Amino acid sequence: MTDSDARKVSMAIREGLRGLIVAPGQTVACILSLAVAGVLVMTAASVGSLTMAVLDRASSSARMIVYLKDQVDTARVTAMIEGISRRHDVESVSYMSREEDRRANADLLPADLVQTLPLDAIPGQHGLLVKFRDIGTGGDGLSDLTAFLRELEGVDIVAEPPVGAATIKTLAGAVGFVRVTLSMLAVILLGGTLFFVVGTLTHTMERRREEMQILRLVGATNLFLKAPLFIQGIAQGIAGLSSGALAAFLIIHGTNSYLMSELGIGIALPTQGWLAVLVSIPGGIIVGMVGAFIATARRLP
Amino acid sequence: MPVLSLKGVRKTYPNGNEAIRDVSFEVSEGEFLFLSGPSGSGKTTLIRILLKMEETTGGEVLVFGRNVGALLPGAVPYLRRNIGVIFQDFRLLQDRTVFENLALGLHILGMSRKDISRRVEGVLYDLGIDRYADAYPAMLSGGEQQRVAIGRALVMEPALILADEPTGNLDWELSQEIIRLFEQLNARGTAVLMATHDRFLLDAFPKRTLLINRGILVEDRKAGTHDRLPSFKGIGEIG
Repeated sequence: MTDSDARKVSMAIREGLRGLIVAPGQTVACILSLAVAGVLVMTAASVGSLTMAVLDRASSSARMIVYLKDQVDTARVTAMIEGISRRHDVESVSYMSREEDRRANADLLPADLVQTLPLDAIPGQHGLLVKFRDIGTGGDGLSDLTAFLRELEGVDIVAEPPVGAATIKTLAGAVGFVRVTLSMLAVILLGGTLFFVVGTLTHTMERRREEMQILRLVGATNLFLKAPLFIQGIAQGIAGLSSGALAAFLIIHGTNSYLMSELGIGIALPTQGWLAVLVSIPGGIIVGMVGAFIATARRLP
Repeated sequence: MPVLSLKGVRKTYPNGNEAIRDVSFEVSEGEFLFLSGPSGSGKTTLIRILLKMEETTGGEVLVFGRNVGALLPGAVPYLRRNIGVIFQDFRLLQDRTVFENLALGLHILGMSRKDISRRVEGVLYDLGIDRYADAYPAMLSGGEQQRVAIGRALVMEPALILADEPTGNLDWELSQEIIRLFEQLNARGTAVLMATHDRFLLDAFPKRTLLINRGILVEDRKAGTHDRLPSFKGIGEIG
């Protein structure tokens, strides 16, 4: 870049920032709108993330315990794990020792009762933990897997998952609904933010129309006229979205603190505060550039 | 090589209005001439065509030897950088100081602040308005504002100045001052094409004059021969 180019870039930045005060009311309204959109996107993402986590956790309850007969040895267990793992509707298979099963059973009893009992008084049986993978059947494939496991040599009992196929289907549907809803919300909010950026830049161009005409007459190129508008759009985008992300972070953080300390609720809205603020900067750049592109496309072709 | 060369130029608007009809003339380097005619005769349209603010519907326009009609949009700004333009209504930016108004075009060229200051201050001094460098246009008289507008054109050191009724908003004394200013610039080698319908100015400064009426170039009057010319009344209404 030559000195002359550097001076032109510097001029574009100066004029772009100057554009922010050409219509201060509109600029503030635009930044506030972007901030509100940023808060809504981040809050929606946070609530959505929590919902997805809860639903995923519920879906992961579709875990079957395959109790094995006592005489099944290690070699047979290994062969069974390999055979079950090959199925496309199985996410994972792991071995559960008698001790682990005993501890799990002990957890179901009152603690004071467990303390009074000898350890071998609580039953424990070795087996396999088979995690079902939803492959888009919404849980219909669960009965097939159960039947397959029951037929295996050495299997004693196949414990049904705590939630049935219908429940899994409902959960899978709910996860899909949340995903689609959040995606649509994000698209609508981003479209809204673009509307505000385009509106503000169009207003700036209107206010500076005479200036642009004069600049054209003294030899300004289209790039020279457009660059400050892109800078202005980017500045608005970054200021709006990053302040929105910061505000959302503080809101979510405050809500979590309240839930934890005052109400003792052990579940919190997920938040990656600083990451969100950082992501909002390139987000603001993209929103600003797209907004400036739309605003200048017709008036400065 | 002439700075301007027009051959059979025509401009017809979509509504059928013929603004320019078969106009041909040449302007040599360092020449000073008037473009005159009643209001609505096509003077401003012709100037807009020379700046490629309007497209012709026929003929050929050469500016500095370049065919304006064939210029790509991206090349137009570079053409305009060699042409100083002055309007009747000054077209100054009211929220910028006199200095900033003059510096506009130099920023486009990417000049350094030091060079911009040197050139702007020099032009302000030459035009006798250096004391108004930090003033805003609204604080100046009409004559002073027109000087600022002339300064904005001069600071680019153009080879050609196109002035569209630059004295239209000024009284007789100030109008004469502006023409004398143009004469000084012209003496330094800058070609000047000034549109005016002010008959008194044409009489006071008997230069080459192109008389245009209803889009037709009716006469190309040589310098110093104004006595033998028909009055405007003979060719149309005075605006």
